[in-house]
Amino acid sequence: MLPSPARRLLRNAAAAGLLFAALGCSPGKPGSAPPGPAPPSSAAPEGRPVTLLYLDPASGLLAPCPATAVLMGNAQGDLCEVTRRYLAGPACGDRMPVFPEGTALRGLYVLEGGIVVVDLSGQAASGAGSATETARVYGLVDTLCLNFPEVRAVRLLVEGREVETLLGNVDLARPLPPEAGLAAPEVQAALGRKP
Amino acid sequence: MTRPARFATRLLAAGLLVALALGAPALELSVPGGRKVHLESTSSEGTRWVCLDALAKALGGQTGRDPLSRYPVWTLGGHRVLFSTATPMTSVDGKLLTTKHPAREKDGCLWVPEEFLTLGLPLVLGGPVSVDGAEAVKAVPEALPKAAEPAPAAEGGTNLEVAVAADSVRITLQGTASASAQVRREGDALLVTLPRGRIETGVRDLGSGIARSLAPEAEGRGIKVSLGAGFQSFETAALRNPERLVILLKGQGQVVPQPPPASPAPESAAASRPARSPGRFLVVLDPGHGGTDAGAVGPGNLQEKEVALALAAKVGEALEKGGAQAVLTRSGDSFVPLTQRTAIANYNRADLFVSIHLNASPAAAAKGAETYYMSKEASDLWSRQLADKENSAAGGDGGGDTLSLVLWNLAQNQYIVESSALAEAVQGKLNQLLGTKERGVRQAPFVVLEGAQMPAVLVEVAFLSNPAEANQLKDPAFLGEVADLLAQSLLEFREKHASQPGPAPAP
Repeated sequence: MLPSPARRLLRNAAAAGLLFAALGCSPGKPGSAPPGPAPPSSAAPEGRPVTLLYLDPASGLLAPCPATAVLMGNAQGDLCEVTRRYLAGPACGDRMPVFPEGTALRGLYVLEGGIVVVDLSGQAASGAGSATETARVYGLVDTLCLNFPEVRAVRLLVEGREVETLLGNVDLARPLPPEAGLAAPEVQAALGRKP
Repeated sequence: MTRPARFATRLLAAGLLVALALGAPALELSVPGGRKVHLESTSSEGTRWVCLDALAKALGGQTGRDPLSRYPVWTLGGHRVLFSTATPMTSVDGKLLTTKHPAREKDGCLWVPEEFLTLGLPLVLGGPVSVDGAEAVKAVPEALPKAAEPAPAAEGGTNLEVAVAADSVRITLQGTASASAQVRREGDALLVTLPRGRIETGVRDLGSGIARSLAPEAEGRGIKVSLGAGFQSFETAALRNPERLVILLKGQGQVVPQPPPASPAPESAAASRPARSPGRFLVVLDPGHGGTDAGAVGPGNLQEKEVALALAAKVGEALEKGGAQAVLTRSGDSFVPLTQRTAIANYNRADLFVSIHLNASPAAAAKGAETYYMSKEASDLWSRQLADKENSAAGGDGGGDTLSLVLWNLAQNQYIVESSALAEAVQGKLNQLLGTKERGVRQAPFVVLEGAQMPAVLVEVAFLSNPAEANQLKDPAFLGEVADLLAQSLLEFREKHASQPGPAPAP
């Protein structure tokens, strides 16, 4: 069960009619089928290309790493799937993971207005440094905004709780829109087009 | 009860009273009308605290909770005081006061810091208040700089304020008729018309590619904004408490620095800021982390909190040598909450706020300096959300002053252009020393920057996670060199920007 602050956040959103999809992500391994309605076709779902943003050690920016994810056309399930993919780390040799190994997705909630609430396990809050923190926070925020045009901002929770920051700097008390300036030039335009 | 038993009971009660008195020093409040009030208080963190219920019992009024925010509230004689326990701010009838500490809830009581008594109570009681004979806590400003307070509109008049940023121009009309103003585009101009009253302004050069200038129209009942080539779109938001209309013009407009006006118009942004004392240049330096929060840890257990403190102290010395004043948010190994660090800068009316950190990255080879300033993207989104929330707040019964408290967190929004220039200045100097140019200036919504009411940056001097840079950071001579450069960049920034007008206050 979610701790009370997160419950309050979601309850307030629901009361205000802002909770669009409140199903938590089902526990699953990265790449497993997300919850949601079955695809209309009986054929096995095919993987679709997605772009995950990880740390480029040379520039310190978030650079693209192509990946494949099984997306079912269900916003909440697809967001879960891409987030799990993201937390599993990059498959590109020249990119670095930004979340500590073992960081898990505890839940994901879609609110009205393109706000997504992502609940991460406690490992997400270990480490130090602005470079680590901005890469971690915006690696995920920018990845979700880049792959889902309807996502305008992402709110992060840790262990179901609202937190002031992840590592002492970036304000997590409110939903974060993408920050194109922290991403590599080739994806800045796509992120910058967000309203 | 027998006589010995009564004596023992009285002795015990007297002992308890003495113990209470020793643990809770009494505080004498002199309020208007020559009345003196004695309150019990507790002491911690260098200040005394009084219980709001005790204050209300002594002075009257009702305590409770704001229905919208659940913040503690005290109403007395038509005045309304809203306390934040998250930020060191108090709203008195919508006016924001910066205190050293936020109010605290403990043991069923809201504890308010002593400085509120001399800063906030006079506004509630309508006259001077002294604590133990002292009217104001030493070095405490009476209230926030006037820039944070809306200028009073003339009878039936509507005030106008303009804030120019790199990608937007915000025009705020404040007055009872402002919410009913009509805004329409006609060719290369935006026309704003009031149903009644006058807009108090003269012709103004805005120096932006989005909006070039504005001028009065229709005998003062409107204004005409001449749009520039960078103009793309505009949106409006009618806000309450106080009544105002915000017109946000968006686009791409490189800001052209304006010379100070020969004779500033009364409504100009520059004139609405408090005059800066000539020769006073105060920088608040914030050594990151502290106490239980070590920050990043490098080889040999080199801790960010220690290096940041040593560096901040050296920067402070270098600034003092250069004729400036420096205040540190911590002078020892103590934990200071993020919002309190910013509050110290606001409280001292600092000219600049510089948070000093050492970096760490999962990439061990990461090296060089990074300088951050507030994210415009996040700030804009949050401002829009707050405006929506304010407009949807039912009845306006307290929503306005609650949101004023929340908006305090977004004060830095007004200084983003200046903070960007400051970040460039700081980063440029550090690049010279460290020979790294690839990292540079970045934007992110850092909590410690959000509430700063002055240009503010967070500088990550070097990487503790890089063994070579960590080694350099152990060397006091290297730290001295970094400190001198940092101080030099701040002094040069001051010299370059001292004559330019500051940003407009928040609507």
